[in-house]
Amino acid sequence: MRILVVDDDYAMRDLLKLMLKDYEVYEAENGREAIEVFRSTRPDIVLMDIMMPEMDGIAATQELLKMDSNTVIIGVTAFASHKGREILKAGARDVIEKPFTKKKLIETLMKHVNK
Amino acid sequence: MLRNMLTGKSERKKLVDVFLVLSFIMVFLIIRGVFEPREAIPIGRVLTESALLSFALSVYLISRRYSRILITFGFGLLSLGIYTHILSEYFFDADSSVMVAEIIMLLSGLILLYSFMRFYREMRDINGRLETMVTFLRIMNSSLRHDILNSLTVILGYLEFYRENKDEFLLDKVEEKLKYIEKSLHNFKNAESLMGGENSQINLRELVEEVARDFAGEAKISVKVEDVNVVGNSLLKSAIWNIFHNSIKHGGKSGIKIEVRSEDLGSHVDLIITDNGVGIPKSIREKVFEEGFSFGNAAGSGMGLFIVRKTVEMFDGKVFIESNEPEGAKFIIRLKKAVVS
Repeated sequence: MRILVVDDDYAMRDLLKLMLKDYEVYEAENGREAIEVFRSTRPDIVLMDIMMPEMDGIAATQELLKMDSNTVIIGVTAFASHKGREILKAGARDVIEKPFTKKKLIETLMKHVNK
Repeated sequence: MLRNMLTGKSERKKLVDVFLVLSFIMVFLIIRGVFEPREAIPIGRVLTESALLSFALSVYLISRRYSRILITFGFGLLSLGIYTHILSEYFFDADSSVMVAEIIMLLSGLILLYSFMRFYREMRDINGRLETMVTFLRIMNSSLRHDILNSLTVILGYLEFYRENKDEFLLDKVEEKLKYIEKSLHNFKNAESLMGGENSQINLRELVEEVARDFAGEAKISVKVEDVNVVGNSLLKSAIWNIFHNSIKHGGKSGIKIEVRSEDLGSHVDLIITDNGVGIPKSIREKVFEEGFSFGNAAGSGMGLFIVRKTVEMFDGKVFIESNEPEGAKFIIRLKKAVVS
């Protein structure tokens, strides 16, 4: 399974790579970069942070879904109540609220991969 | 305190002014009472003196910019004019008194017009300041929660891995994030003074030296700032702190040198902060002060420099970036000099 991790915090990207070491992981540090990486790698799942510079997760989600409407995008946010709702409205399949554990992350991914 | 910050005046200063006004009236009445017996003074002169005294007080109140007191005073004076006019016309039958009463009414009308205009401008200014403060606190709150929750995710995640393989490297990551939380809390602590401090004045050199001491172990900082008071409060410390932190964080190398100097511009003073780091590309110099903008591998929440701009603007100052030849970044904070009272 190929996963694209989009987050402006490099420590968070490193942690996600560590948690997902059994998978093929690509990374991008903002929405704009995510579009470029997505175009070249075509991942199965995108883990999308929301508050990012240049292009935020909500705008990036809309752009990615225009490129491929079947893309599974999962929002990752500290503000699940309002930012989470926004990214779900933009087309994300699910939202993971920070802080989260490795178990919770894998469970959420599996829920959408097995569908 | 919040009201003082918004209006820029303290209750103590107002009391001193009221005391001065009352003393002036008392002295005037005593001197006149000593030199002239009351029955010898004609009504026309009493009214003329009242008008002149009122005029002098109006000029004083206008110079002290007390719009609300001026409105009350203006209405009082208008009542006095109307009352005198009625008395003069129906009881004294004195043309001179009628004329003086009309002058008083005209004067009160002008005072009321001026004070209402002034009051409107003050309210507009206060609303502007309130909006800035609310925006500032909203962003700080959101930024702090975001930074802490983000950092907690990383800390808990690395601790989970540490339990499995006891790799010291993971603890370094945890420590790094804990320091980041400390920095975020430091920023928020400074923002708290927004609600408690007065918008008065602060010594620029002492402020810079205080911040330089905070970074003593992390960078070589030289301070050549003149001994001048600027309009602001302790929030400016947070602004300077953020720029120093930015230089060290984005400098791209260890042993960053930061030079701080000031330049006198008459009514303003420029605080010029330069470093020998990698600098800031010309294309993003305007953007770095925008909300949420961050860049490079060491990018943070993108709030630091936005808060710097908002803080400096709160004191009618501005902050901008110029090219620093041959290397590094150059931040200029332009602040208003405090008027010595």
